[in-house]
Formats: sequence, C-alpha cells, structure tokens
Amino acid sequence: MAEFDYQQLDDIIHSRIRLAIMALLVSVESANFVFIREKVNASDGNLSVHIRKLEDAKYVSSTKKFIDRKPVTTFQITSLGQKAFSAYVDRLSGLISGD
Amino acid sequence: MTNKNAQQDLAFIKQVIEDSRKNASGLGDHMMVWGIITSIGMIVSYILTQVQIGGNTEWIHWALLIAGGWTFELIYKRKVESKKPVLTYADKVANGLWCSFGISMTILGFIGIYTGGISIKYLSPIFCCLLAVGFFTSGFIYDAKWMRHNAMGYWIGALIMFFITGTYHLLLMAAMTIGYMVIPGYKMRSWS
Repeated sequence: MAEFDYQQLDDIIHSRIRLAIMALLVSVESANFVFIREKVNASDGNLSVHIRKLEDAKYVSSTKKFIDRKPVTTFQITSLGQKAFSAYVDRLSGLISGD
Repeated sequence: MTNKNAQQDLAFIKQVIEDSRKNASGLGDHMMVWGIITSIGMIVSYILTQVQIGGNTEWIHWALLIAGGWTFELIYKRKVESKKPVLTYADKVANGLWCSFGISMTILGFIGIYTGGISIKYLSPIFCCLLAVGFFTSGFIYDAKWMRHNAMGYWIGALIMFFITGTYHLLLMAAMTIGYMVIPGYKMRSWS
C-alpha cells in the first residue's frame, strides 16, 4: 500500500474529530455546541478541547448568547478556516491521485 | 498515511457534509401554516360566492388570514428560528426564496386585485405558477424530488384553472394546497 507524507496535511485539521467539526461547519451557516457534539459523537470535554484548537488557529469563531436564560455557544467557520479546509481536501485528493 | 486512509477521510467528509445539508425542518412549519391559511381562505371564498352576502366583503377574510400568517412569521422568527441549533445554507436560501414569494403573493393578491390589474378569476392559477417556482427551486436546494413533483402538480393545476369556468378553481386550489403544502409540511417537520 502506498504511503503518503502526512506532513503535507494541515496538522490542525488532520485529526478525526477536528476534521468532522470542520466538515460540519463548512456545510452550514452556524451550529451550536450541542448540535456539533451530537453530530461528531464526542464528549463535552473532548469537543471543547478540539474546538479550542480550531479557534486558536482562527479556523472557527464563536458567538455566545443566552436563550431562555441558558448560555448557548454558536460556532461558525471563518474565511481562513474555509481556505484551510479547501486546501486540506485538495491535498488529500492530490495524494490519492498521486499528484 | 495510506491511500486507503485518505479515501476514507474524503468519504467521511462527504458524509458529514451531506448529513448536515439534510437538516432542514423549519420549512415544514411554514408550509403547514400557509397551506392551512390558503385552504381556509379558498374554501371561505367559495362559500361566499355561493351564499352571495353582497357588498364588497370578499377580501375581509383574506386580510385577516394573511395578517395572521405574517404575525405567525414574526413570532416564529423570534421564538423558534433564533433557537435552532443549526442554520444551514439551504435553510437560508429557502427562507429568502419563500419570504420573497410571500411578499409577491401579498402584493398581487391585494394591490393587484384592488387596482384591477389582475382579475380575481386568474389569481388562483397565477398563485399556482408562483408556488410551482418556489417548490421547483426548493426541490433542488434540498435535493427533494417530491418538491419538484409538487411543482409539476401546481403547473398542471394552473393550466386546468385557466380553463375552468365558475368558482370551482377555488375548491381545486384548496385541495391542491392541502395535498401539496399541508401534508408534506407536516411530514417535513420530522426531517430534523
């Protein structure tokens, strides 16, 4: 089986859970924490750590608001995140096709 | 990393994106409410033509129903839409499409009839054509074949209505609205 140089891939995105978060957010306008947690099937703590990493890289931005007196955090992908995700997918496709 | 891993990752990304796009339940509520409003309006209009009350009172029930519909929209936006866990691009486009459609219908229905620019006889087929545009486009936005079939139904209905004499077009419009808006709208609520 052919091996790839994994260093060609963006480290921030190249983790199963962060990849899932990015793929989810790239396909929607915005999503709240609970929705993302259910979709990527992660625990609160695990998801928080991974989202923080994406926020630190400025790939994802968050908005906090109160709904029915409960705090709700909504996440959106940034333009930098969109570019990074697009580059990641292109790189992945390129690796498969051998470019 | 192997070729197989990369292919799995790409397949995984595709799956997540496709799943996310299917989160479109809000439209069902709007379809149900406007479908019920239109059906009631059409049936009341038909009854009024049969009992011949007299006076220019045909528009009163429509004014009340449409005002009720727009009030629902305002409350829904504040109470429900702002609490939705996810906002998809499909929802955003469809909301814009159907909102512009609702404004057009309101102008045509009230101002068009008031000024005499549109004959009341042809209002139902004109609405059918507009609804068909909305459903046909939504069918592509949500990748839902049944919406495109609804559009076909409305176009056929419009053709029939242009040739129907009397006021039976009102009953046909009411039946079509129940079949193409109320029932699918109810089913769509389970999409989320």
